[in-house]
Amino acid sequence: MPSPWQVECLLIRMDSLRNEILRVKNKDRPYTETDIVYDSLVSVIESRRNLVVRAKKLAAAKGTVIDQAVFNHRAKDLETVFQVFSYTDRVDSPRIPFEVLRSLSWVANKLFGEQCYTVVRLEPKYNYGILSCRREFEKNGWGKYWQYADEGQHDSLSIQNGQAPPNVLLLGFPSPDAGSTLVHALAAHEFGHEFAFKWNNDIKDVREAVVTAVKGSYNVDLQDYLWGIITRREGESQDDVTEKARRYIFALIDKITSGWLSEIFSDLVAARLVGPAFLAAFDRIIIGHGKAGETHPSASLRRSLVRRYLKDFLPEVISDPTWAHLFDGTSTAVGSSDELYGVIEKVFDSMIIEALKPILNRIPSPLTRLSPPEFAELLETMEDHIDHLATPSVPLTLGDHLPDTDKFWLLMFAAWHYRLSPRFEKLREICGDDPNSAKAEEVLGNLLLHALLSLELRARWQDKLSKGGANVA
Amino acid sequence: MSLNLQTLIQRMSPMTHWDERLVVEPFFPESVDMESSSNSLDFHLGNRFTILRSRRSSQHDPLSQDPKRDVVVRELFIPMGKEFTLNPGQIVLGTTLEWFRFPYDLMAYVIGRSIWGRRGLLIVTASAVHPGSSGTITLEMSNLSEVGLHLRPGAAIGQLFFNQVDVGSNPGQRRSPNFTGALRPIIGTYSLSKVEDLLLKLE
Repeated sequence: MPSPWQVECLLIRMDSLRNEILRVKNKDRPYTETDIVYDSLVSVIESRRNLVVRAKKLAAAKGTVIDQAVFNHRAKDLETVFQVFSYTDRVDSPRIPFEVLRSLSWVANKLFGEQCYTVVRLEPKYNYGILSCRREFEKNGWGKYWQYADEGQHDSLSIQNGQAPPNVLLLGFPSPDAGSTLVHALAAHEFGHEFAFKWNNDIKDVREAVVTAVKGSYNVDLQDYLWGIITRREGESQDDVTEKARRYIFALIDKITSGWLSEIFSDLVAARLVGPAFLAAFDRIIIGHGKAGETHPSASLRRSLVRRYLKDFLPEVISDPTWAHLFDGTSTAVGSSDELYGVIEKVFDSMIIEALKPILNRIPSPLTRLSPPEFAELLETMEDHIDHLATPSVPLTLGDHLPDTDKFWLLMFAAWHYRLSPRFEKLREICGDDPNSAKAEEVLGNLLLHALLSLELRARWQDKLSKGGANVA
Repeated sequence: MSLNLQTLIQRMSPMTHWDERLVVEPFFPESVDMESSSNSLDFHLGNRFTILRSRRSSQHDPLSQDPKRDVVVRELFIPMGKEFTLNPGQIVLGTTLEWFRFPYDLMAYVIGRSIWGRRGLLIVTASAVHPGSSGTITLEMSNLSEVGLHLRPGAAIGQLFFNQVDVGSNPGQRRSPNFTGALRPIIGTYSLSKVEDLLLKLE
């Protein structure tokens, strides 16, 4: 049983976390979308605090102390609230490319067909990530707390009475590369995770097929692996031990397959959205072969599958010599030294692309919207603009044959194409011949970032015009 | 020679050769009154601001090669629809919302709009934009009035007056890499010229 002192400590911790959340909420921040998360977290804490206070009073009336299970449960809640809060902290650093936030939200709204806000946080770890805040609340059983605390404070967020607030997608950008706009093409992969969740039922069928295939090769390939991990206890029969190990391995296969499938699916979504530019950005973040783990497949497998998918899906695009070196890698798809990973890699390598194709085909690719000659001409004009240090969004505004969200990904594609093409040398020269191209890449990133901002402003301007809201000459 | 609005619009056409093409992005043609006799192009306030901060030492020394003795800055991003208050006597660096690409035969002067000037906003220093420049333009703004002044991104706070430059036989001068392709307000680092270096060492 927890002592009254421990209960007191729990209540104090709840208060201090609540105050910290409110402090962060009241900071001077450019965008206030995360207020929804802060308000909802405060509601969770307050509800949990009330439960503890009530349990404490009840126990005191009975002359006893609060139940251990209740105490543990609330302490766990507190830890989870802290964890979710820690994701939504660090969203106000001036190093964040705020220019791209509204464009990202706008793209996400169109892609997922629902209103959501995209917020960027700087990740202390060197990776990209995505967290759907509303889903995180639902997962923790806090769904009913996903709400505005004070509607008066959120008038800019189009609150409609009785409606739950929109989702908040929290994108993590690696802190050291916050200013590397080109690398943010990896946001396409993170959006892929949202699609994976959205189409979870269809992906589940693929997962089951993969798991069956892996388990099928279990008897053949995993016997040695199994013997390696078995620890026989006194009194256990050989059959018991084997069965225990088999159950353990099968559970592990389920877990690994789920994690890997989500990653590979998201990679292929990114390949549809930004084409080989995804491979280029990926190489920046994951250097070398990248070992396989329980949640992520090896980088070799990921590269190999994306390459194969692109060769099949965008043959004209990747025949461009600019991308050639991204397809030159000697890395093989299957190469993990761990036997279990090796078996799963083989299955992924042999069947995953075909299995995922019908699901992937639902996502329209901006790179196939135009005919190859039209696409080549547009790319050429965009690169001409970059050559002359003019924003590449300008050619996208001529003619009206592309959806605005496609333009977002086309800009990412064009910027990477330029970066890898011999034309980049010209920019490097203009920027002072920096040997590691840092200045030239910064300028290219600035052109891209401004183009994304500009595109979004133009779209909103057009929207206003069509509604007759803009005061124009 | 100062260029009129019609000529500027022609210069912005995709049909114009890059040697003469002016690019302004975003540019909203609907917002320009082609009948006007204006010889300038309005620019709008961008979202990024840099504020000079006080520090432990009471002075900053731009000529010092020690970065710790130079000015300390704080960056801010103010989204569209929000505002930034410029306090009396305060100086802030801002940017234009527009990205400009100047050909080598055009330069421009940055002039604050009188409607803002009469309310105390001064956009004064480093007012010339050189031929071949590219990027957003850093604006040095200060408030000379006795009350705070709200600045909103998107507001047309100034205008550019364009002049044609005689490029002679050398149209492709190099740009200054430090200020090429800038997106955020740049405070810049002081680099001493040879003459300055000599003069400053005199006793």
